[in-house]
Amino acid sequence: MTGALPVEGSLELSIQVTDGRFSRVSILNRRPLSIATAFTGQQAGAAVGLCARLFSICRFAQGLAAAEAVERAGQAAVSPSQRQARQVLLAAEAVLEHAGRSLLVWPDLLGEPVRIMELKTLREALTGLHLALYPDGDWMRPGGGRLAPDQPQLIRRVAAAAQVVRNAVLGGDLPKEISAWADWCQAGTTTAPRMARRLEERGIGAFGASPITALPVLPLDDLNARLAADEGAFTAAPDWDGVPRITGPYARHHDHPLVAALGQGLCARLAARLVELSQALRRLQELVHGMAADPGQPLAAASGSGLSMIEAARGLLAHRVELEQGRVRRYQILAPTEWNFHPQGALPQGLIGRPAGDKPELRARHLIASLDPCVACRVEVSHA
Amino acid sequence: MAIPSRVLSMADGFATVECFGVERVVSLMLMDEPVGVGDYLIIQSGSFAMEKVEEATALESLAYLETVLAPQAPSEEDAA
Repeated sequence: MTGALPVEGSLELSIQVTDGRFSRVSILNRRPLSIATAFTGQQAGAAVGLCARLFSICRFAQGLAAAEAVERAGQAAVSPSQRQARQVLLAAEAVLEHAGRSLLVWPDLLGEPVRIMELKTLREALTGLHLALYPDGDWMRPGGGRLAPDQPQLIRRVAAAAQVVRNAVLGGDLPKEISAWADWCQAGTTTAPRMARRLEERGIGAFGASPITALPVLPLDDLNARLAADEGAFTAAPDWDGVPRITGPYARHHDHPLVAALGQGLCARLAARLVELSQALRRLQELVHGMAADPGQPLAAASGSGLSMIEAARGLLAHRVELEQGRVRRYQILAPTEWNFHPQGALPQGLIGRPAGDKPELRARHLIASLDPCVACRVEVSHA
Repeated sequence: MAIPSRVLSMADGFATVECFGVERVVSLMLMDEPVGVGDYLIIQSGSFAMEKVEEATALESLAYLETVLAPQAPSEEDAA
């Protein structure tokens, strides 16, 4: 591994191959997990704003998780209009992340150039979507920002994103059943069917399956108790019921008929991501109709603790805050990358003992991409 | 993380940026606004500049980050 390490954090993966099989996986997590300590002593609203500013990937999910944690600590609830606007932001972010990865990361796995124009169009449509809802940019304000939907702009932005998804990613409707999957893969010229086809051509469509099970829906009180007692080990390498879990599209859609029929490997995980992309886009298209204005309601300074759980693009994102007279006494973030890249989790369990093939790094990179880390990932493969 | 990196030089669609003493080369291909030396950029996926931030905002973020990104021992574990 050479070159400067990204200051944003990274995952450093050392993978060993012995006698043609993956034999050892070491995960060095360089994500700055102590970042939440920056919020200690801040006024709650300032901490939420800082959170939204310090996270560029899944910014809406991070900012809204922070806002909802603060609202729960103050036992406050936002209006249905604010909830709908937040759902719009989260759906837009899911579309941006899933379609964006297919245009930025998948071409690299396919040995092709990044789809620059389509990616720029997608980002232009969705990264500024919050301003069509909250013109003052205060979408993350606890209690709700000044919501003044610009419906024509919202519809225009969502239509532009939908066009990119259709023309560059999915190429049409995703098959609902396995019977139509093979034809869709063979006929498609966009990134998704071509990626599925390439996985089968490389003989790795079923590769990467592991006994690691999906993170269940977590009871709020149970997760709150785990986080309250945590001194850092849980948020760095979380488990549930004593075992690592996976979170994200495959965990959420593994029982979808198409995904279930494809098994548990790379093709199934690809299909799960596409199911989620399709559903998020449909939800977004529905939600932007009938939006209503709402002034929001500033929160009074509160004391107490609050936990929010948001299903972000990469998986469950939890924020927990303890407030004392409106100031942050303690702040914790439990993010999807720590579940999915647990040292004994889905990556090592999906690799170790499996055939490495003639391109072990590429094979490992496919599995890493299916787990979708939120930071750059460096891979070093050695042969024993 | 959105950690602003300052542009030191540019050539052929790439920029050399610096943050906390770490220099690296990033692609500008996804930027849709002009970039110049001295600008602050947010980098994603390790090597792509995604957005430009105002200098005052960047310096404020860096001041916060400096307090929490002091060298920390990463966790490393093996599975075999």
